[in-house]
Amino acid sequence: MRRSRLPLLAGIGVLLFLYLPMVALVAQSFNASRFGGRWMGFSLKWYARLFENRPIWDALWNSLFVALVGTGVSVVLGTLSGWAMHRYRGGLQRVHHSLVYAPLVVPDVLMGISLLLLFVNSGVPLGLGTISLAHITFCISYVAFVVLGRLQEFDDSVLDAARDLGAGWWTTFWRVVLPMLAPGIASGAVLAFTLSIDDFVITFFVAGPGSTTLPVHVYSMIRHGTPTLINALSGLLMAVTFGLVLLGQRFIRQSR
Amino acid sequence: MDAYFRLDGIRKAFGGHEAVKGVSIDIRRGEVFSLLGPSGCGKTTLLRIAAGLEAPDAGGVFLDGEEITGLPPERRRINTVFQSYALFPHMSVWDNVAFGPRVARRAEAALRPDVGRMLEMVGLAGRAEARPRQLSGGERQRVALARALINRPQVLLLDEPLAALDRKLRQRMLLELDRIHDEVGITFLYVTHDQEEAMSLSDRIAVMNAGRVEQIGTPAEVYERPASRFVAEFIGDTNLMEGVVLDGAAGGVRRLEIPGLGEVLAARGRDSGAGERVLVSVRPEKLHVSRGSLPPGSGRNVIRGRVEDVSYRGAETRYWVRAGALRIAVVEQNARLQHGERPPTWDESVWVGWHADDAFVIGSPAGGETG
Repeated sequence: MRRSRLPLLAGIGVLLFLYLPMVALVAQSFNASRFGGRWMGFSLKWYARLFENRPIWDALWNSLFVALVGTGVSVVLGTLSGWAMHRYRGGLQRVHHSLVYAPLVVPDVLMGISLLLLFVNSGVPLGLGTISLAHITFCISYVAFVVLGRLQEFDDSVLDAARDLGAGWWTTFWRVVLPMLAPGIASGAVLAFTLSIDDFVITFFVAGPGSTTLPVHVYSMIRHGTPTLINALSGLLMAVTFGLVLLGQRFIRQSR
Repeated sequence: MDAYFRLDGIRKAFGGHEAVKGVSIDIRRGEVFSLLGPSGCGKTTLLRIAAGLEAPDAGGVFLDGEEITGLPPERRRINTVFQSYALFPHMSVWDNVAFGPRVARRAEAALRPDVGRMLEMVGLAGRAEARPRQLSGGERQRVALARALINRPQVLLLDEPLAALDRKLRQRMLLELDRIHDEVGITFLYVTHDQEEAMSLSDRIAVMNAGRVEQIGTPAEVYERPASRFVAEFIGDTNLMEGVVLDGAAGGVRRLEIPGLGEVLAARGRDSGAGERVLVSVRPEKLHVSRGSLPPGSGRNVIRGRVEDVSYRGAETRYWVRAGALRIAVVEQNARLQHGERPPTWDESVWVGWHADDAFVIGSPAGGETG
């Protein structure tokens, strides 16, 4: 029997659709032409120029700072939240579940505006602090649900076993719960990190003067017309993001 | 009787449901004591109270003369083999077994020979580096056992430890458990719904039903002298006949009138006065079935019936004989039929006989409550 070629063709079509823009972008980042478009030969000069551009590096450091703080805090809070959803069932927990789930579906614009209003009304000066708080807010939900997914396979009787064998709850937590949840927590952390590094909309609302993150800075660069530098930056970012995604998938696979 | 491990007047309710309704049990040092009952009878709740994983609503737990009711599980010298084994999936077999000693802050060099010896005892010395998910059900069970025993508990609790294993393996593990008990001499409290397991392993059994203990005794006592209808029916098969006492000499042979069967003699069981309605239990293997008439003899009950069903089972043959309104089960050892005698077959008219000593009076038919 001849197998239909249709799935193969459709698959290739989807891949082209997904990756053609990125391939074009990466290709352009090696184009020596000043304005893009016509191919003027291979060059790494935009990458070299990129490394001399101070504002970009400041923005990158800001992004990394926010992502690290956001990931760190949201991993702790998200894990606790996932644990609570798993461990305690009841009316209040169902409300908790819905409330934690909501930020995953609420539009970013809405999140951004509401956070901005909150910060302004309560007199919190906008800056890296508010960006970090905003990122923690939306990352918690993702971490909580990744950890909760991991907990579905968690056999609660090991907690009884640990206590039965003489472990207090602190020892049980460190020696049993944490190692068993580690793969879930790690993939939650990777997810939170990539989300935070990428975020534009919410950050755009709550960023103060002089505290831009990389995506926001890229946006302003486009407006002021330096597309070649952005091409190189995008190529670099893509490499890093893909690396992180691959790492995350490895963790998820290990946790299965 | 010296009670080493004592559960005294334990009560426990979950929500509105009372799972344990006042249970008292005295367990002797070194004994294998079983809690036997159907699922939902409260045996696992009782075990969790013994372990300290649940707090009783009323009653106390005493170990070696000291009250430990309020002591958390990590401070009791009691360890548990859980039904699901509850091994730590992220640790090797070795680390699972070493968990208890490590938590107790024993030096690594000091605990190493102990872990080795434990793995040796349960026959897993070669699998120390394996992860639980790489082990078979029987091997996991052994790890759980070693992990509990290494702490030298005063009492070892076993919660349906063989329930997840197939029949052949279960029988082998039973012998193994027996050997290990002889080797370590620790008091075992064993929870099971399987009467065969309880009978072959235990020194004594507490038969539980609906949150209460129906009877405590040796395997032979609960089988031969069931204290209630529930015990008679739950442990092994039995024939229950309902009747009225005609005359009841205390301790002697009683005459009973069983509707449809006529007069029947029963020599054992609880005392009952004339006119009282009672149940009589006779185990199927105590009855005999024959095509020729059975010798009446003193103290023998003989009735006529018709064979409704025959089931040949190799070592034995099972008959169901219709006699009046009753359907009586009889088990005959096939070793008896060696002298060219033709066994009774389907729809044949037969005699069924049993001795008054094998008929056991277990009280009124209405309630499960007996003396």
